[in-house]
Amino acid sequence: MENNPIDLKAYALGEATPAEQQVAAAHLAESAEARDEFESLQLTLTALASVRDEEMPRRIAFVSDAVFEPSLWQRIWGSGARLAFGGATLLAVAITAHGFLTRPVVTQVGAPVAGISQADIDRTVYKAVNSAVTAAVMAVDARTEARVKDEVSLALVKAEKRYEGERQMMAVSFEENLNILRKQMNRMYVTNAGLSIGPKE
Amino acid sequence: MIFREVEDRDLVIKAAKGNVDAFNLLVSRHEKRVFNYLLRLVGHREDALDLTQDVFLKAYQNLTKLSDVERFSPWLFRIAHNEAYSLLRKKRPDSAELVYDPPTGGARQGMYPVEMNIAVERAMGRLTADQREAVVLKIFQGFKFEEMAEILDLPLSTIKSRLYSALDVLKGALAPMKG
Repeated sequence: MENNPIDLKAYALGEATPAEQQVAAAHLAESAEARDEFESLQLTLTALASVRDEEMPRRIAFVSDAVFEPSLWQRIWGSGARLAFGGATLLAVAITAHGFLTRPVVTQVGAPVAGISQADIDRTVYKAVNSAVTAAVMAVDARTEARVKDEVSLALVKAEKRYEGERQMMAVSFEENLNILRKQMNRMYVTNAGLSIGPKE
Repeated sequence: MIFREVEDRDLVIKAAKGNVDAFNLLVSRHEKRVFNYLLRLVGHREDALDLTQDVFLKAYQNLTKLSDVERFSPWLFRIAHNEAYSLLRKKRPDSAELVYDPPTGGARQGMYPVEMNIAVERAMGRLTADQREAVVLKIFQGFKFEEMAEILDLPLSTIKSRLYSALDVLKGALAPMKG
């Protein structure tokens, strides 16, 4: 930048403010040296401006041309819906791949070992199953028997209590009847003997 | 010029919304300027052409990032500047000073004699790369100081310094022609 406050280059280039233009114009009117410098500058700018632009050898591809088409990745990233669809597709593929890659292992039964017949295997299996079933049944029987015993004991206790209660009621009733009978017999005896009951007048 | 700027602004808005025709029109309007700017920087027609294509591709991809639609042209030339220097760094990683190779392909059809153009090209060859770019942006492309500062990402004082020193060199080099 020039130290000179009068910026003739900015004036020549059309970058001076209106105030700067006034100052420069006044300076040019007063100074012949400034006018020579300004004229030289204008000639230089005119010479530079004489240079014409080159014509383009070929046009630039337009947006509608293939070169401007966004890549697949850009198209995917450019749309939230496409991105979501892509993510869902990826998840589906991952699930499918997981299903294929981690299938349950199928255990194949091999041929019978030489020396062991199918009948032996059946007998062994039968014994094992039979003993297991017997043990299970016995366990169930034992549990059932214990439960029945408990229920019978409880029923006996209840019956004895009920019987004792009835016996006591019968004893009381018998005693009462006996007292009534005794009184009736006493009245009959008094009547037959002509005795009077109560104080004598 | 004012109408042109207004139309550019409208086109940028439409293009940012996905209007392909609007961007195609912007390409048609600016491709020659961008190409010549890049040609001055890299000095090779095919490289300049490839770079111009890259510039518009990047502009299209990043158009939504343009915060001020009024500044499309400086923004476009900023991309061009970056692309050019990226290429030059790849080609000449050890050279801080670019070797100026003046364009020679097209025939000058102007009203001035061919000698004038040759003298100007030779004078441009005396400038440093930074001075040359300042002259190209200001004299050939007609940008304002502020726009140049935006394109080159430099302070206004640096822009003026480069341009003024370049004009001093050119004035001396072209002096014999002016008489």
